[in-house]
Amino acid sequence: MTSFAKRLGISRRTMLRGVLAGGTVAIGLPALDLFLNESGTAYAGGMGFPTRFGIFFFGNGVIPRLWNPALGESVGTDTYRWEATGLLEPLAEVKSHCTVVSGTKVLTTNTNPHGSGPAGLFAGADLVDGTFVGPSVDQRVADEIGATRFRSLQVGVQPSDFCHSMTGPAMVNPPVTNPFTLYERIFGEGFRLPGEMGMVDPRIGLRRSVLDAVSEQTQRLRSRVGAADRARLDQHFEGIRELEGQLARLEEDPPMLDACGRPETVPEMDYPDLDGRPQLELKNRVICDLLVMALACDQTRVFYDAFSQPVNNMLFLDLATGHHQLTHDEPDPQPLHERVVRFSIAQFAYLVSRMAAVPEGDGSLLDHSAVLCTTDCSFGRTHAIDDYPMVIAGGASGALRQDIHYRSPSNENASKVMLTLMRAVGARAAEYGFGEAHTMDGLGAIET
Amino acid sequence: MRMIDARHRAPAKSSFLGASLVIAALASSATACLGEEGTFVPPQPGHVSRLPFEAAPSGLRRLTRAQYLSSVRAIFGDDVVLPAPTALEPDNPVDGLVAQGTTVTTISPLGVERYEAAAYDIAEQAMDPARRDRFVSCVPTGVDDDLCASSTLAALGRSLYRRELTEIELGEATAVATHAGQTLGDFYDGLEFGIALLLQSPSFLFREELGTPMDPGDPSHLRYEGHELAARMAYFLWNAPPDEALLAAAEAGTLDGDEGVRAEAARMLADPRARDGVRAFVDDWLNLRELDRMVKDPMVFVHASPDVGPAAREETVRSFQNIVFDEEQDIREIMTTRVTFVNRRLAAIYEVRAPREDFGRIELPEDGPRMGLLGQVGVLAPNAHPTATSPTRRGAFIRERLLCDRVPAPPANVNTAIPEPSPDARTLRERLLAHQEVEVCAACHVFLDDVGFGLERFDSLGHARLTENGATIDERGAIDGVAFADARELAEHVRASPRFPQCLATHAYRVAVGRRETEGERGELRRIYARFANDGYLFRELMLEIVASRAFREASPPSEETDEVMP
Repeated sequence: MTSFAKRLGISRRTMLRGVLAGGTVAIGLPALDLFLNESGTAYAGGMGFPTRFGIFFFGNGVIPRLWNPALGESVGTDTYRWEATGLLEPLAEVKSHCTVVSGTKVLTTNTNPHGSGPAGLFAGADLVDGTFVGPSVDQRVADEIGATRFRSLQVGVQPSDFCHSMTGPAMVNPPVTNPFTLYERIFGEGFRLPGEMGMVDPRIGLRRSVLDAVSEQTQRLRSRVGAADRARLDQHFEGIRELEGQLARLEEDPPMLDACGRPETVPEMDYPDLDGRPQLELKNRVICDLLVMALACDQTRVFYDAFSQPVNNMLFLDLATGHHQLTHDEPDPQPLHERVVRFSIAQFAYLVSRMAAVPEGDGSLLDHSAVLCTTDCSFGRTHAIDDYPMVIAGGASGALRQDIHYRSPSNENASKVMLTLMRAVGARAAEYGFGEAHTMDGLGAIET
Repeated sequence: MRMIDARHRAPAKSSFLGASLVIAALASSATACLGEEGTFVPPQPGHVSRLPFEAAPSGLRRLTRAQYLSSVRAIFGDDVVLPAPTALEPDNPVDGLVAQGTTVTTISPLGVERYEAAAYDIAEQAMDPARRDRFVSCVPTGVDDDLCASSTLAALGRSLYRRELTEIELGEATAVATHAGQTLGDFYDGLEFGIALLLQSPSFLFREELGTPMDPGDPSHLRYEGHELAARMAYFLWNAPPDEALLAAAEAGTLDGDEGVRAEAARMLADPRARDGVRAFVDDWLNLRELDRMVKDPMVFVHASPDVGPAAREETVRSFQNIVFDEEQDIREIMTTRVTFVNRRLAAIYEVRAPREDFGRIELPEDGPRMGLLGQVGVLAPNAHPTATSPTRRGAFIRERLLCDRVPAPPANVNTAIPEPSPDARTLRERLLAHQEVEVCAACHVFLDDVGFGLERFDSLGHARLTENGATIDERGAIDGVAFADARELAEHVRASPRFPQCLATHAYRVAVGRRETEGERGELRRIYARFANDGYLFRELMLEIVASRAFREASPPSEETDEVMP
């Protein structure tokens, strides 16, 4: 409890609740610094800043020859200084926050071009029946650290209903790719800034009672169906619980985070193609800005950003050939494919720079995050899944080394990177992956 | 491409009729394409298969977006403003079909949010003073009139759940409405919450197709009865919920016997709503939903615009509906018909005079390059690149969707680059032939490209052309070991192939039941197919035979084992 609230002799909760019945008296809270401790490194009640986990995904692989930076001065076992060159050049401005991991291999089988890579990396096993064998890594992380208004957020720039965030086999968490819809979902009705007076709508409580009844019906139906349908209904049930949780959060005080603000402009309803080209850069900026603010306001701690889809055949930039077609048909050295990958990395760089620009205590939102940037294969043309392209941005609250290039000399198991990421962001995980891809060890060289 | 892809879930031998004979696609090397031509075993007249019938497991089916919307429209009225389809949980194709996704996928947390928002939006409209008398036939005695709320919710619930509500369910809905009415001080505002509950219930969002033991003492043989069968029929034949007549038939026990089922199905197939059933089938079978997000470069194609894809989707659906309902022709006519339905955009691409009204009927010129399904933008454009055509993708479409041949995914770690256009190889055809000189590529590319070459007269958007990069188009190709000269001959070949109507029937069956056929259903499917052939390939007869079949009406209990996949 802060001194300010003590002076008023009421809890913050009461302040907010107190205005409900009677009307609209709003008591503004003063500077939010009050809720930080003296050194400004913690918020509300002495907790540190939360650690966040994210994935930024782009489709169709890279050109490994141009992706992997030259090995600079050695800074530890298999770790080197690096320069932002080649396909990674757009990372130059945020390089100090980024670690490149190269030379690891997705050790599960490669049966599905563009599908086996993400399956092996995110779910630890190749596709079975065309889908992941279990939850994707972001969802496993969300199980542990997702106790926020949104357990996780899935967004994207290319319009699609698909991304690799899955709660189980065939259970896709569809991304929101329309900026306006995303704005409404996070900052629309019911959202309050830290300290903002709420007029809690009695309908919220009624909606929760409806969801209770829906839960009951789901549980009763569950008892009448077979095992596979039970799993489906369990998932549905979890979704209902999540929405109940969201509504409960809306009735509580928002987390006291300095950097939280409502986005100044409301996104457009639509971002139509211009001359047949999607407005990817503009949409990416808007989506990233919303996402970063959602993180800064602690509305979620886990995200999956599907910038572009596997096998996408979009017309990027001024190109007259679809991207997927380019990856396959364009002869060496594939200058056009190179431009598309470079452009995609620039979009990731924008996200990283925005996260770095959000101050949190002594550091930034990015310092309290780990964001993995990756794609669906290494060399797009051949669908190879060795030498898997990965860049990690952010220090995960001090758990990860930054600004190094780890180069595996031995086709190491890519699962080790994922296990390290899970642990770095505070998810307990004893192991990762199945079969060949199984590991109980992380990648020590990138950990602090 | 979706992650959930037919190529990786298909049991090795799942062809619908007869033993599947692997024809290693025209190649004899060790690297032969493992593509598989569905092998046709002609049904013998009068011969009913002796394959033992084994019903497939029962289960839940999630409403598709279109089914959610058609249900709300049917139940709440045409004047209700529906949520945008994109504001609902997306349809997830499994094995290439949205219908198959309905038996496997669930509702994501985002989906729960979206259905909630839609539910309140619809409930609010239903309780609009101008509309609510349709649903509330009593005069409420106060803000919390239990009886009035209960009778309203019971009637709406029966439509939404496609069965009577249980006492518990009705009690819950009534309690929610009453409590909300008290809180908000208005009976109708309260009722909104009760209606919103019904609209979010799994019993609305999922169709309960659980089956009932045929013999009370034997739980191993189930049958879809009454309301369950009614819903199963209605969503297949109409892509919409049962109407009052069907619910009444279900409650009267009419659907328990063959004759009753056939009579109701015949009535439904004569109803205009059956057009929506055919629309859903064609859309799913030919993967027409891709057209709404089709990318074509307007800098290259003067006729490209965002509305071409949706228009092409409509054209293909209407040309099917025309054959099925208006002309009542042999469905194979779709391959060769010169009748089609275009708007101005499509007319420009086809270089024909636009009909006076959008999607009016036209006849393509007799001597033109274009006829039937393979001449439609809805097939030509999505199975091509944004600027270039793709004989490979068009060939795969014909193989997989029209003939049910199995096409494997390309192998990993092969160089897929094709030569740039050069004076020696100006056309894509000439450049692709380079693949056929590389052994590892040859088998599959012959299997696919030699078919797709037949459509090279049509550019990536589907506009007819004579040259590419100044070189004359060569549209010759081969399929099933038979050479053809052009698109028209290719279309004739597909039409004449017994695999075509067989594949169509297989897809219709999969759409009807929401999954792949099982071994135990093969005999029933042969019988359905024989009737289809004997009836002269009338599509409505096929739908009727599917609905009347044991495979559609019987079930086995679902597995109690969790389907743990251990990689």
